[in-house]
Amino acid sequence: MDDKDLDRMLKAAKDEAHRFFSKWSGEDFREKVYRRISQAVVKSRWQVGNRLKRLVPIIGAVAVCIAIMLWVPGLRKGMSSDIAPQVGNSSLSADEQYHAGSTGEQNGANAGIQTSSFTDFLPIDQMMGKDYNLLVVIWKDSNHKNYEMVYNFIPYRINGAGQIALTTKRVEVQVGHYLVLVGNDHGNQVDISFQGNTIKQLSQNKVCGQYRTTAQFYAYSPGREYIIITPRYDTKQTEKVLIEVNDKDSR
Amino acid sequence: MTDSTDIYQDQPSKQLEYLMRRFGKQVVKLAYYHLRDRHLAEDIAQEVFCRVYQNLDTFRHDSSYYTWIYRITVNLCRDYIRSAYSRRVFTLDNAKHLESGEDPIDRLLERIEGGEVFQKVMDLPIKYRMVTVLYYFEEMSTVEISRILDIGESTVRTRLCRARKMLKDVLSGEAGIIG
Repeated sequence: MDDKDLDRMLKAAKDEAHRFFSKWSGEDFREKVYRRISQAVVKSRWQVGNRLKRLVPIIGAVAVCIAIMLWVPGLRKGMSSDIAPQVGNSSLSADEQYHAGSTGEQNGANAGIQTSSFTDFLPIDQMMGKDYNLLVVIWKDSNHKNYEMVYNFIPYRINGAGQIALTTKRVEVQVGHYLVLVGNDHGNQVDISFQGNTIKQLSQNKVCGQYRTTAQFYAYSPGREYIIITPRYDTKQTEKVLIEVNDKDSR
Repeated sequence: MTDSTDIYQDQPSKQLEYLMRRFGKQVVKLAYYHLRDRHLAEDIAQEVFCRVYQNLDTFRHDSSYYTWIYRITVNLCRDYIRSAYSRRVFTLDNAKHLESGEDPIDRLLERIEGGEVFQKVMDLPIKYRMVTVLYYFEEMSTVEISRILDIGESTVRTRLCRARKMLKDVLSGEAGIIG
């Protein structure tokens, strides 16, 4: 067979190939492509929705925390006096004064809080991955020393039947951490009670946006105790959260 | 080649529709030339256009859509052939094709619906088959083939030369094809 013969046969093969493929519409896969794309879109929307759903309490918690930092003098006391910020009124009564050891260094003289920016918080993934009710706030003083405040949020809600719904019934914290009861009680007042052996209340019934920050606490001593939440109009609906305060170095 | 799809630049779904209509059948054929299995070829085409859709906004026009899409196709086919993972994925729908990677029914159809010479070309080892079908059946230039297959143009020519030699041997009945 010479080259001409081969070229002739290849031309014949080309016609055969054309005949072979001519019955293929090339349309069959198109529907599948659209189906896959629409599924992917739905999936990604679902993922975004889910992520947003997870972010909502975090954003809320962050908003509350920022509000707390800016407006609630109680928590600002949590810093030792030498690093206390120069903003906000100190309208605290004498019996509320205490030294709340933050988990960071606190000895920088004349240190001032430089930021309340969210970017100065720990990475949000870390927060989400660990526990989305936990918020760690870090800022630098004028000497670039890091200060850290750890907030443990305990969200609650009172439903139409007057029942208290809690996201957790046990919270483990370290000495120096803060506890914040955050809830939307729809105007139903609750009473908070606790023994005070391990935690100290900083403030109560602060409203930050749509959130009612019912109570803020500071864990000052290792031990266990309950925070008891009781609706005023129905004391039978009491709920309690076990607070376990560990020593700083115990974890 | 003019990329008419540019007029749909802000409408990805229309772009996709255009590209599927424009290149869909070619992509299936290209995949078939690789895999010799119509079902797999359509699965590959599906995957190709899903990837095209995902990457439309990042397509940088360094090459034409035509070359870009064909390159994706070739890469997916190569991945399929090489990768046990791909085989596992495709097993779900194509369990019967798993072991051989080629469907005997398609072999039969190649002969019945195509023809003897076509089948002989398809029987060539894949690296010779691909250059042959693209050059002789799809009338691509050696430069285009080198871009699509991501090999040098000289390699394309060498393979074409060897493929012709093999075909001569086979078609003249002198010898079987050695893979």
